[in-house]
Amino acid sequence: MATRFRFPGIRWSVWYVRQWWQTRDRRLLFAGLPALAALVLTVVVAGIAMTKTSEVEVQSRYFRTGHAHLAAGRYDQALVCFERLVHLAPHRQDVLFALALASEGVGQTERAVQIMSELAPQDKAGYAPAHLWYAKQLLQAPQKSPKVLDAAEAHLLRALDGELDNRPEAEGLLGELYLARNRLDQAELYLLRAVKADPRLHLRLAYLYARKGDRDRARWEGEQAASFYRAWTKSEVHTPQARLGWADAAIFLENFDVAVSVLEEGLRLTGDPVYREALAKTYMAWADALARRNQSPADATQLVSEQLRLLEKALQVDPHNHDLVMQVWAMTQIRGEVADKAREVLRSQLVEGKGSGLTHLALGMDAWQRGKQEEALLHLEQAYKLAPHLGIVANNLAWVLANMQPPDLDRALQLVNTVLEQWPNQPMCRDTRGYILFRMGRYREALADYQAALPALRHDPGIHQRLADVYAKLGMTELSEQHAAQARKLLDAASSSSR
Amino acid sequence: MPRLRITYRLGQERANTGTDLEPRCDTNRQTRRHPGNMASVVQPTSASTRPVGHAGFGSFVCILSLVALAAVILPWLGVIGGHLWARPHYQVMPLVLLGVAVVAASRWPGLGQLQPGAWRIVLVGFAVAVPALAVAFAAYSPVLGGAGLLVMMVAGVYGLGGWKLLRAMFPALVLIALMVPLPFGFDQRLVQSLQRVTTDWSSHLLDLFGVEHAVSGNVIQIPGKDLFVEQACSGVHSFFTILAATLFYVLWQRRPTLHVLLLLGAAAGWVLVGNAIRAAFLAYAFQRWNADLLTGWKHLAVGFAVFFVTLFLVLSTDALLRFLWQSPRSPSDPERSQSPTRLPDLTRTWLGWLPVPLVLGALALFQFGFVGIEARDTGRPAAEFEAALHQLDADLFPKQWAGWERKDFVVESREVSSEFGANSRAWMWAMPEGRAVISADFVFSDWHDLRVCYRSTGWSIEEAGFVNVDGVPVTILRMNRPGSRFGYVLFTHFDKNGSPVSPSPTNFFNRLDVRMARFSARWFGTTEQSAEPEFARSVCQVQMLVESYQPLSPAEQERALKQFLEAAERIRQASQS
Repeated sequence: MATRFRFPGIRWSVWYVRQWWQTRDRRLLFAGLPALAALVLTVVVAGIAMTKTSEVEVQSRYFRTGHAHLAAGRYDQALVCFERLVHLAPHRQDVLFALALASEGVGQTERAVQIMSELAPQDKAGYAPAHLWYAKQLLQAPQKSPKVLDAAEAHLLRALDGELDNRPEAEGLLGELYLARNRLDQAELYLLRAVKADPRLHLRLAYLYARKGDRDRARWEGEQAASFYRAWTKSEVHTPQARLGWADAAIFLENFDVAVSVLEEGLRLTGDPVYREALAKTYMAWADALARRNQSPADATQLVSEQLRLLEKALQVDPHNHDLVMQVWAMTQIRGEVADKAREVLRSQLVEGKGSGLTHLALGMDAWQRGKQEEALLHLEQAYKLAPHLGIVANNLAWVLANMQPPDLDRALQLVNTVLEQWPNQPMCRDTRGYILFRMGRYREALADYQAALPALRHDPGIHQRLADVYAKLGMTELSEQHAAQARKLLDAASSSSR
Repeated sequence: MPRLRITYRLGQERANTGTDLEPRCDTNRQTRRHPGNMASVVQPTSASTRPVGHAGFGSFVCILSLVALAAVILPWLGVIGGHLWARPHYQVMPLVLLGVAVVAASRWPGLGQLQPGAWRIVLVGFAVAVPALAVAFAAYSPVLGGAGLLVMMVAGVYGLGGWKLLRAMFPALVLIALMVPLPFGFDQRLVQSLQRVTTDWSSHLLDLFGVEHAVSGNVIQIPGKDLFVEQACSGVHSFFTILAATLFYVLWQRRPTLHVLLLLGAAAGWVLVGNAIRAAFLAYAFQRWNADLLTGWKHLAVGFAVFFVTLFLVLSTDALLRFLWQSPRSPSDPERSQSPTRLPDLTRTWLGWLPVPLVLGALALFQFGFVGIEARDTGRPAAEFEAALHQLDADLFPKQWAGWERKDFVVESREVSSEFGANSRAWMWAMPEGRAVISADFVFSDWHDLRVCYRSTGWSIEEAGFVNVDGVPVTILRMNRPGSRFGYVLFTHFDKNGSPVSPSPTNFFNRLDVRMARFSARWFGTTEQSAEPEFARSVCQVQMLVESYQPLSPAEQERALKQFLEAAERIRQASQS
């Protein structure tokens, strides 16, 4: 006989539920529906939140999103993402690194540097991308002392020792650093590694082989660089880096007319002022190349005229270029027709309205050298009015005021002090002030300024002579004699080298 | 013939009075229903009839007891009321009082003839309550005083009507218990916990809706804005309001115990959910629509909307619970007879005991002896002090100050009970080490520990120290946050007379000590030991926060301390002008 399963419990439960339901007040259910719905919704949302917003999920999402914001330049949002992450995972190096990048982006530079310092310590291996970042910061510094370069090198080597996504970048930087430090073999090693990923480095290799004396290889590399930049320029017509790189390669290959035409096209298409500076640089390089090529004294005058023509063209595109104006001024020191021509070039700048404080400065210095005090003072005053921010203008005006007859020492002192407030350790200005104080009879103060300027100007016979004078006034004859002797020695050396 | 107005049930509890004036009753007494009269009349079997003069004396004692009771309770209403009113989450208490009256009134009818409770139990209750009230008033402790009053009320109610009345009035007493402040700052800790929970849940919601944000303590950071949950969630205070309202409702409606507990739990849950949604919504609105709902009428509107929705959900939950179990009347409900509630002869209760007015009168006198006991306030009026602080402006410090550059000056007003102070004047500085903020926050009632505030904004306190520099007590905190952020905080306090304020080790015993000493000096001529106030009433806090990306060196800390002392002195002098 088959056994039938019976489930009296289920039947009873059904009966109970039915009884229970029949005794309920439906109005209460209706009134309770909002709470029930809210409860269900809360439970569902809480459940989804717990699964979708687990810590691992949050970290992953914020990491992705934060990097997307970084790449797009939305640093505020990137910072929020990485601030969240750093609370969840305070020891993750990749998070700290990204936080530092975001902080840098919003202007919290000090915080970025501090985080990177912890990630990339000086004395041991840290997080490789942080070492690379640190090295790049050091290499961007305006004053690259040997200590700075050593530190940058150490960071780059540590970066290459670690896990780095962008190894060619680090290798390229290291190669350039070695090139700058004249360690050509090491530079060649790293540049050759990096050039496959970064064809821009062909130009660096060209300089390297030029220094090594391998002219053929240098030329080949230069042509590779030119070819790369040409292709880049053709594909991205408005990208300055491409066009400037092409011009640099052309300059290296001494195809100056190519460089000029490339840059002129860029200026015409975009009007970007960076092309003006580059053009000026090209013309100056062209003028230098002419000087290197023509050694015959018979062609000297024509050479200088040709140089002047090029510099004049440069001035037309970049009249405010400091180096350019100083180069033209240097030409006014050459006697004869060339000097006159150089002066004419400078004056024509003023006439055409392209003149600047620098132009007046050059003319003023030229007039002073020729003994024309009034003319010098006039030009320098104009230069100061047009470019009061240029330290060299204030310094030279102060020098002229201190040396003219009669001298205006108070005004000279006030002028040079304005420069020293901004650059307190500028040696030329310290020397100028020392001279003014000496003329005012304040010998001890003058001595202090001369001493401050001496390390940078120790090869200048003038400062030694001035030191000799001030020591003499202070009654320190031994030191005075020593400095006088040094001044004579330097003068003799200068005159024998010029012969 | 003397009439006895005591009614007994056969076999019921022993009625007790404990005094010689009252006849002793036992269960063997016979009752006989008088025709036409619902009351039962007891024929005394012993010569325990009181003469008319004694009844009159009993009434007089009752009146005295009531007067003494009022004299004891009334000062406490002022003390506790002031204490509660200073805290926004307790400002619903006047409505709670109303609720107490409603609940008591709803439970009063139909209790029939009440019998006084056992005298021993009443005695124990008063024996606990009276000393507690005495100590509480001596130490000016609203918490202990509230507890003492509650015990006295329970004993008193029991003494009047026994367990039957106590059971009937228990819900009202539970509501009254809400008004007893929580001890040891539990209410503040609860608020802080709620802020943390709200922040956490809000963060999860924002993650769910893809709103990028960072969380630091109770601060939610979104690009362009820092949202402090204290600001967003003054609705945290609605937690207490909703709970009080729910409790009143369930007690008034006589819900079963389990129903009460479930509904209270649900109410707490709805409040937290509502606050989390509110905080998340504020952040979402700012980020998505650039709508600033943190201030003004919009903020109020959002707050009210969340409050009323929460209340609605509580009522709906109540209906749902009732639907799930339409339980019969709670067994805890007092047995309701058809007869109207009648109190026993009050002269037969504790009100008619002669020691009661004597003891309560002594307590009232003792309390009265403390009136005006506070240190005579010969200093500046507090209002003047506060007005002077309100006058602080940007020019109190020069733009360039000892190598620091003043960047900004901010005036801020907050809720009265804000842990950051109701008012602040803050000067922002750029300095070589980073940036600094010097602020004057006022007024606090006493020394205020800033560690709580900084923890709530996400700082970790590495080290806390205390120094005294030329009589100026300075607390120093060294803090940090992830991501290379360091904070160095110095803070000090001074009162309205410009005197420095130090942290008191144990406020309760300190106050008790000082006030008892003054009491003795006033009434017994002993030498007053301390002329110091037992607690400062108007205190200004000066703090300096230096934020940097690396820890300050010892030399930098020294400079910061020097700068801070000068700043504190400037602010102190300006407050005294």
